[in-house]
Amino acid sequence: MIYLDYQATTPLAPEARDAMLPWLGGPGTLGFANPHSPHRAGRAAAAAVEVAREQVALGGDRDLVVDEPDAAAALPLVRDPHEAEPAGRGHASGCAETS
Amino acid sequence: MTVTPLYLDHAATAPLLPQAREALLAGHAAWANPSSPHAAGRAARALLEDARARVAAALGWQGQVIFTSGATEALAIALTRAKLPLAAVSPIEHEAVLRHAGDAIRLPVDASGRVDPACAALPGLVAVQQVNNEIGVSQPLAEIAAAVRGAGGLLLADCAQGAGKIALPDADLIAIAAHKFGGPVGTGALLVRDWALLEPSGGQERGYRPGTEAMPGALAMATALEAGSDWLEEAARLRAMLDAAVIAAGGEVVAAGAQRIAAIAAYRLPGRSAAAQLIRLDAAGIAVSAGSACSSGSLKVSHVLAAIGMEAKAAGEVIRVSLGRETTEADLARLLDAWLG
Repeated sequence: MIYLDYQATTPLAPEARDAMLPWLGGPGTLGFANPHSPHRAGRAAAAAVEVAREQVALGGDRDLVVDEPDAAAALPLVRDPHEAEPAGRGHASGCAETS
Repeated sequence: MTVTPLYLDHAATAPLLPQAREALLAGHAAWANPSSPHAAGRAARALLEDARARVAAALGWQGQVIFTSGATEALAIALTRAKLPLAAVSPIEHEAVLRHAGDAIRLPVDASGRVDPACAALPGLVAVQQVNNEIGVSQPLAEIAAAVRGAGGLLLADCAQGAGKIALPDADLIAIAAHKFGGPVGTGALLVRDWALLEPSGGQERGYRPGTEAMPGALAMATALEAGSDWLEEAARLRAMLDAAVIAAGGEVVAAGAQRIAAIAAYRLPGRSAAAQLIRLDAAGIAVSAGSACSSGSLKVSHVLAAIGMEAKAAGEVIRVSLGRETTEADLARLLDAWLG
């Protein structure tokens, strides 16, 4: 196959694959924890995310980079994040609202 | 001396299953854009649609499946695109729901965090989670669904902690996250009973989720779901042992009387701060959590514990232990020795 559609998507670079593998589990790998967790494994994951953020920013302003799975998901962040209007509504009797 | 890590924080994220890892890498090897019209694109599309059918089959879901980046995005789509405006949420929802909740009604909960179904009879969108991420309590969703539908409303269930472990509820909209059940982080889905319940936004996923489809993640999520949840039976036995040991040591099982998923438990040791317990266990190589991972960076008072009537000091003495597929009795013996010994 001759692939000439790199504008649609590009193959995962071997370097990118190698960077991902240590965080996908299995013997001798670095871990998989939630970067928001306070324990050692979580702190390691958070550190990796911050290193990645620095690498992505590369000479740009690192504060401007927010991790998002793709550009379409990132765009709403630069618009109004509170677009959705809460509903007006009635309420069943005997159901005092909790604070 | 290096300590062997012991991971007991599966509610924050679970390890990727080996077969899901293989599926993820196979997906990356077949890397074309599923929306491209050429042969490589069509092959990627076929893999994506196969993953969609497998996810629905593994979950026993008869409706539609929209792949997303996780439960948070699935919830955001549901909360901003549902045909009915948000009317009410439980006060112990995950922040992913609460940040969209504005001044929607907070449904009253009992001392275990359970919503009174009668109060959910509202003619709008009602969001109630299946399983609480901090205390493991299951909501009476069958009764809540009946009340919501009886009033002409729609039920949105955040099933991030239940999917892949226990049967899905009969809700109109359901959010799931692959990394909670052995799939990869960055992949989730919004399950929709009927397309007509959502306003499309344009783009991929039939116009309901713009963005290039993450086919490798979808394949890995399907594979993780197919691994099943037989392990929960053993987890229930282990969790009962843990509950008994904590009570014997003078501790408290949070929401002990309520129906709770076997994988999650919250425990309070009076007079011992959660931070001190976490540090002690972390030094022993044991990963647990205080409240949810998302709020534990600051160890602020949990809104869940506050909602069930726990005072701030008591709430600050609660840690969460969450079990997984690979957790053994020996693991819990080690936890108990380091924690209560």
